[in-house]
Amino acid sequence: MQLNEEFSNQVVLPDLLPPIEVQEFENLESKYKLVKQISSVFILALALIGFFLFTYISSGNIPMIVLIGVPSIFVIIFVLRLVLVFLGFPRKGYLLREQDVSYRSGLLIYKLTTIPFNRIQHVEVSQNIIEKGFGLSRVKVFTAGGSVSDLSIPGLLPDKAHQIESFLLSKVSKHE
Amino acid sequence: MSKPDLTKPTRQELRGFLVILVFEVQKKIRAFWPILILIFAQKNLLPSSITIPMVLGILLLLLIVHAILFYLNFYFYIDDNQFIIKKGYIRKKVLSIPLERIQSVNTKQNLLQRLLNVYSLEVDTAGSAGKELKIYSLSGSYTDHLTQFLQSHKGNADDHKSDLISNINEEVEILKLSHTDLLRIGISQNHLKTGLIILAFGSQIVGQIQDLFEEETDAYSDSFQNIFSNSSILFYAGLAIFAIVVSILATLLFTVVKYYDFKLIKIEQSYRITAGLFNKRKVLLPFSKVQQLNWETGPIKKMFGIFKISFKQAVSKQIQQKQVVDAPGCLKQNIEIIRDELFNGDLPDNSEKIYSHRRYFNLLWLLMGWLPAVIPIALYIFEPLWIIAGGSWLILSGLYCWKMVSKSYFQFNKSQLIVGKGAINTVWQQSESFKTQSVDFRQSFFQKRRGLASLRVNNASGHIDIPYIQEDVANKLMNYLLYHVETSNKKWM
Repeated sequence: MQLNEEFSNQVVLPDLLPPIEVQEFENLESKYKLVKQISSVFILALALIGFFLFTYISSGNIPMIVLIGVPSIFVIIFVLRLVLVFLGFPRKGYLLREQDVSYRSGLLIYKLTTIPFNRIQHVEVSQNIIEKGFGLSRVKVFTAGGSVSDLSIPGLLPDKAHQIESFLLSKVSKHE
Repeated sequence: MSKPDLTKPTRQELRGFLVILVFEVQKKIRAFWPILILIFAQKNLLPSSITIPMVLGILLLLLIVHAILFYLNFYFYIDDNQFIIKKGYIRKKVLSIPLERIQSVNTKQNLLQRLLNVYSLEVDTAGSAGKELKIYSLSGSYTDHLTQFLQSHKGNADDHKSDLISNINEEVEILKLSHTDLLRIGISQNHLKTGLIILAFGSQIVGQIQDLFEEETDAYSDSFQNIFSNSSILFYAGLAIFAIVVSILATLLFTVVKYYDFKLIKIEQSYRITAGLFNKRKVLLPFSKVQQLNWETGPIKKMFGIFKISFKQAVSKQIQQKQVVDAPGCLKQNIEIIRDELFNGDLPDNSEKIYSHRRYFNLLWLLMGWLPAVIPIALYIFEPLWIIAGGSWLILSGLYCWKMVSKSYFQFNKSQLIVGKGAINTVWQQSESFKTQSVDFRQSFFQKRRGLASLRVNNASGHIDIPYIQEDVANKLMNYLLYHVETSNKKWM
């Protein structure tokens, strides 16, 4: 039976398997750092506006310490975020192998996601407003079922993104 | 009984017209309720000659006409390996689903449908379309034939078809719940949750009553109020007992309604589950469509020696609600049979159990113990008594987290993965390696220092977490799982 063939195939020592953790990953375009930082500026601005609106509405019953403390906490978080984006950027990267696609990111919490080609449901290239301004695209990879297992490679030049997309699509159609 | 011709375009059963009407009315109300509310709230906007009953009458008339047209234009049939639904009278719509894309076919019967002796049928594909693939009114024999055909006809079924028909009646009963089983299941449910909800709700009501009395008693005498507040501890104790009793009764009732006449039957390579007191549901579950099997037991369940099994299927993106089919009240041997059948007997039970590292405790306690304890810090300053509450929370959550860590492990035997977890309850999750869709490797700064990492194995029905294992073990397992998926050419969905 086909099943047995497959199982006999699996007498492979784990150490002989191609390890994913030591591969050289492709880095993202360094412009993407700016995209991330600008989006943090937007978040900071929104948070500050939200806070001041809140204080404005609740007219004057808020102690001074809160009035100064909360915005400065926001600013500290913002600065930390900028630093983290800067330091964490070299950790971000993607990897295409013969059989799967991976994306890794995260300085404090490192995360590496790998999707085998024969489990990809569809692939899509997209960009948000800030990315559009910088001429960057992202490739999104979807699997079946919930959206938890999806993978998204940001910070790519549009040409590269479309190349990756068509590469993935060609691999996916081979498995159909 | 003659076999219905499935390839002929068929309308729904006429005697279930009322069901169609009710479902369509529900749909329209759900879509247009803001307008309805507007009409009711702003009565004066209407011309004086038109009254609310008139509006309702016209709406009902329109809906009846709509339902008639809906009924007349709704056809379904099977053509060339596709299941086709045609519907719509203004906007015509043809939905065609390739048979091999069908994940599951479920039959349901609510009270009204039972009175009219019709069934509704839902076809689930793990893709789009979602709820559109629902037929409200079908006769019993047609439902059976259609279900059987759709299920048996996944993809390359042509050559198996003849076997299937000859074996069709070979049904093996695996589990059947009697009334005493239902009683046991009801008692062993999680009453704490229901109890707490009732308690929170109840204490609010009591608070309101007290407020009420405080106002009222000013006018009369204080005696009643004194009695009331003196006995308030007693009152709360009584309320707690009342809450427990009510929650036990409520869960019992819920269990009976949901699992009445529960049967788990094996037919060929699939299970059929039937259950329900008012709403009868019937689920057909091919083995190959089960993505993950969970089974669990708790302290009370353990006393009765029963487990609850959940079959997890692929989730449709649009519905987002998990396709879980439960079988409560399983005995140990039931689970063994089911696992043996679902996973072809190659179980990793004897391979080494690799437990999560003790450091997992730090993370859990931080999130579940310290964080909730530290957040109300202002409370401790103003009301030092709360420190006792905070302290005991820390101790209790510490014990709970410790239990969680000690129960967290995984077993792996190349083709399959079992993960154990839980604190008060014990839960096991099992999934076949080749059904994995993607793998996440996670490592926090603290984990990296200790050479630890966590894995998340995603499949079409959700994910299995393996927290805090050695970094090299995690890497090995990840590479192994990927290798498995990439070399497998079996259908995983």
